[in-house]
Amino acid sequence: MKFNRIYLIILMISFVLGISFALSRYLVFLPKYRETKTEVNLAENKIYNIWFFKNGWHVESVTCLTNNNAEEEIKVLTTAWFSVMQDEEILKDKICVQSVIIYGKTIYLSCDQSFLVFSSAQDNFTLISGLLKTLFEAGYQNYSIYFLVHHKHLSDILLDFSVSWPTALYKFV
Amino acid sequence: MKFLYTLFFVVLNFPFTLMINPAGDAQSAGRIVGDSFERGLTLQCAEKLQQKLQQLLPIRVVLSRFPGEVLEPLQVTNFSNRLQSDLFLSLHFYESDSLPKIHIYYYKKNVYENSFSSSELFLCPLEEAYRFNMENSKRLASNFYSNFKTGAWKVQEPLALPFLPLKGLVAPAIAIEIGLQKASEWREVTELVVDALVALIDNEI
Repeated sequence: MKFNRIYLIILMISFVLGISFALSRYLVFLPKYRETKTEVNLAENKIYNIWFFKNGWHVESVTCLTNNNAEEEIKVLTTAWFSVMQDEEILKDKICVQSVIIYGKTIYLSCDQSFLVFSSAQDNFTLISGLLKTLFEAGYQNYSIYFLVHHKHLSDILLDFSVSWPTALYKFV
Repeated sequence: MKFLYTLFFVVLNFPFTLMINPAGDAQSAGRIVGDSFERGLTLQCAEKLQQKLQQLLPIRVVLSRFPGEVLEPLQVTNFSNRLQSDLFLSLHFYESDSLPKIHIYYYKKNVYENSFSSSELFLCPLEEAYRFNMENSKRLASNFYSNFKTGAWKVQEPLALPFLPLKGLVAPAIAIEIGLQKASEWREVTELVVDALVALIDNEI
């Protein structure tokens, strides 16, 4: 009888261990509940160099409130550049940046109106070079930009805006 | 018959073909310069250049348009590429408030690019066609700049930029944009351009 009792105890222990193992496996593969953490992009003040060409290269430092979002950063930076251009009386009208989209290394920058104010292609090119240099120095070295007005290609009779303009293009000036 | 054969032979054997593209057409008047439109001034200037250059050099000068002609998109580009011109010159005028200026451009849309080898045959996108003669365009623009006798005119150094009228051209291509204070100044500047072009082409023939 003693022999049988030992067998019975071993059988019961094995049964309990088997059941607990099966349950634990089952429990292990249950989808875990994860706490969803919403990433909070903390805004911070950054100092940017705004470049423009007016009888030679000039630079002005501005402080902008930006977060880690590159599209938002370009939008803020371009708006700041347009403001400086207005302050320097290079641009007369206030130009608003409608939207900025980044796809790979290509930036799509849409404004509410054309900012090509000069008669000659060279003057317009040097104007845009200021923005390209500003973005280049802000860390967008290998990027190229499509300039858009109301989400369509900016049209000009002399400058080709159907192609994207590399930010490094300012080096030609 | 013999005359036609000779004429045909002479036409085919010009050592140099220059194509001049006066900006604008019957639909596109271009910029306003004084009391004139850009298209009228460029055409007059191009006709004068054609006449003078053909007198001074044994070359063929072809204009991309005639008065009253409406140009389709890429018509001039295809014309030049089929003609296999040796040099393409695009002419532009604008009204300048300050000193009269002459700008020289050649097409480039990227900083780090190598020129294509013309020995290979391959499909090439329109906006990359300039790479066949990228170095030649740069060299000719530089020589053209150094040949100018400036005087009262301020000639700017050649600038590489995505210049739309030069897009898609295989031939070496340069553009000049001239800032005039008065529309009548085109005659004066034409003489300067003729001198610079004669020196440039004479060197190339």
